[in-house]
Amino acid sequence: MSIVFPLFKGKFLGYERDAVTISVKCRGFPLLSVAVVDTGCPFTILSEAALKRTRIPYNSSTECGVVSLGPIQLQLRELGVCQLSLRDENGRTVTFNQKIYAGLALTKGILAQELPSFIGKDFLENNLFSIKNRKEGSFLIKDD
Amino acid sequence: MGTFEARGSYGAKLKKRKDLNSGKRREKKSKKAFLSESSKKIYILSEHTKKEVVSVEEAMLAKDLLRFQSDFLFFQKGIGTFRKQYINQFIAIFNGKIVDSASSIDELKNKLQQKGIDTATSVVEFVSEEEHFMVL
Repeated sequence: MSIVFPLFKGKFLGYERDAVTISVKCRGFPLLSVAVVDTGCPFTILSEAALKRTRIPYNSSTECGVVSLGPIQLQLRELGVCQLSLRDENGRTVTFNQKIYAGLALTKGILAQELPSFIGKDFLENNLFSIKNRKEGSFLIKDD
Repeated sequence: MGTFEARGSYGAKLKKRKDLNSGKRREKKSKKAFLSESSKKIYILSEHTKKEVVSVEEAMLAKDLLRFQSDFLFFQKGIGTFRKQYINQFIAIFNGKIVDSASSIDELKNKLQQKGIDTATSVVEFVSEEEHFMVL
């Protein structure tokens, strides 16, 4: 049986993209955030702006390299396996264990503050998710 | 007589099964959720069954996710208006209202703490002067 998670359209970095509202429990600290579903992103990343709102100690996490996101240099730090919850079409929450990275912008500026969080390919593949576009909107579908 | 009784009991069984099936259909149509205080669980109530669905924490989380998304969309819809008043500031939105603003997230965090609002579960967004475009 498949579980359906509705996505919503939001404007991120100038363009309309599919996003989902997520709840993350990381090192015992909760966080609600909106994340862009990006099949081109290999990792699931929480933005610095989202992490700053919480007490998650992301600055002390292990550095995992620097990646480029447009003109921005993003340092990835491993937050470890966190609990990531989504709300399905019936209003129930489903929780997944997922390795999450913090994306800290090395290039400072206004653009860095607007970077969203990302649901990456790792999460979609680990949990057998597919994206379906229908007339009524886009959906994340989890097949067993 | 015995045959009639047997038929009668078989008929009763059939009627019972029919009633049960129609009950199941009704159950699908008219599910009602209620909160049990004693066990801290949310139940779906139907005429025939009392089925456990989710814990209170899960129900609260689902509600929070919905509220957060609606607050985020409120920000996206109103960004044009917010630019006039909150340019280059961070604004916090909770339950469809701007609750505070500040020039940094840390400052906003302190302000919201005093109001008893948790920034980890509130929408905090930066109101930039202009839109930025990026292809990912």
